[in-house]
Parts: sequence; C-alpha cells; structure tokens
Amino acid sequence: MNTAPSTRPERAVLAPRVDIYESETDVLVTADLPGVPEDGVRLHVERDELLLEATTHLGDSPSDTVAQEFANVDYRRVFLLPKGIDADGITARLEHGVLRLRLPKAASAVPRRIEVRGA
Amino acid sequence: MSPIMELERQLFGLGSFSRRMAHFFPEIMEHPGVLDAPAAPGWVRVNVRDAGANVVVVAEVPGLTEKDVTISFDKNVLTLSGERASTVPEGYTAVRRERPARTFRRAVRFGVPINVDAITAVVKNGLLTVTLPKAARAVPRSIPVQTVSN
Repeated sequence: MNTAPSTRPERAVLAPRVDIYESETDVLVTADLPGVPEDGVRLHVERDELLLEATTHLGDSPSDTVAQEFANVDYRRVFLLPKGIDADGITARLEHGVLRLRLPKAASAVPRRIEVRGA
Repeated sequence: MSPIMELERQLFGLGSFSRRMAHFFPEIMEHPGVLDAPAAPGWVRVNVRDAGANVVVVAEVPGLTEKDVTISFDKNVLTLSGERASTVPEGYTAVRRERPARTFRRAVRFGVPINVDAITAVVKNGLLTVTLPKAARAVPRSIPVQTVSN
C-alpha cells in the first residue's frame, strides 16, 4: 500500500445541488458542478446505486489570494436508482459547469397505451 | 451581524477569512474588499487574487454563459450580476429541486488603479473569470541593479 504523503491540500467533500425530473420514458438529473472540467467527472453504477464523483480544477495558487470564498472541492453524491432504469443506457453531458444525466427507463417499465379498436 | 450573514458565515466559514486576507492586502482591497455576501448561500461565491500585473476575480456561475452575466466597473468597483432561470423540461415533472431560479449581484472594490479598457472576462466550466489589468503605474516592477566595473 502506498502511504507516501500527498502534497495536494486536503479537499472538502460536498454534495452537489441537483434537480431531478421524471417523464414516462426517463429520469433527468441536473447537478451544479462549477469548476469541474470534462475529465473531472466519474459515474459509477453498482446494483441500484449511481455514484457521482467530481473534482474541481481551479488552478489558483494560494500565495496570491486576496479574498477567498470557495476552494477546490471533491463533489460526491449517491443516488438510489428507481426500479426499471436501464443502467446501460445512462448518458451524461457536462456543459457550463452543469452535469446533465439522462436515465432511460427500461422498455418494460415504460407504460404503454394499448389502443382499443372497434370491430 | 445579520442572521443571514451569520448563516453564510457558519455555512462556509469564509466571511472572516476574506476580511482577514483583505487586511493583509490593503493596497489591493479596501476593507472589506469584497463588498457584499452572496444573496443566497453559495450563490454566487467569488475569489480574488493578485497576479502582479492583473487582479483576477473568479466567480462560480454554473449553467451561465457569457450572455447571462453583466459586468460593470465604476468608481473602482467591479460589479457582477446576472440570473439563472429554472424551468421544468417539457413533458417532465419535478421530483426534486435544489437549483431554484436565482439572480445575483456581487461587488468587489479595488484600491489600485485599473486599466478599465483592457478588462476581459471569460466563462468556462461554470466559472466566470474577470481579468483586470492594473494601470501601468500600479504594476510592481523590479529595477535591475547593474554592477559597474572600473
């Protein structure tokens, strides 16, 4: 096990703020991740849990800081996937510091309207 | 201290820190430098750093683009403002909403003269970065001392 001390300053771990929307066919999750570059997001599905992890890259050098209200953080949040989500079909897009996840419902979970035809 | 300021301070532990830092850089920031607190916790937060020839202000603006923010500089005060809408996508119902529609307005006062015409701003990865070049007479410079041999 590597026990070499890290030179990286300790980061706070925060839960990002999210909106969750649902339709008959999918679930949308929108998360605020300011300061996170495209390669800074990791998504992991295990059983019925979706793990979202992200890392900011502010690039500030602390020595020249005049005023500081935010620092580099690690974002982390676990979502319980509702039944009937097609985990293989989950897509993610990071745009302007906002992550948009689309979780499609499996075909069997999508309610279908069966048309009744007259004879 | 107002209850909201107190809440902000407890949530982020930052107000006292930024005031303390401003104290050490009186030439850049008149006390308290950042003139106000975010109207809502975490929305929007700003950092200020002195990069020698420039002062750089970085603000967290997730979901906003260049056209969503307004930047003005008047009487040595930089003001950032803007708003983010919150709309439920068509055909969807909201299950959880932690990102309400919000407006923001933050102000940063400068104690050094700024070359206002050369201020630039970019938005990337949800961060607004405003670069404010100091006026030439305010840029620190080192004067080389030459050795004269007779």
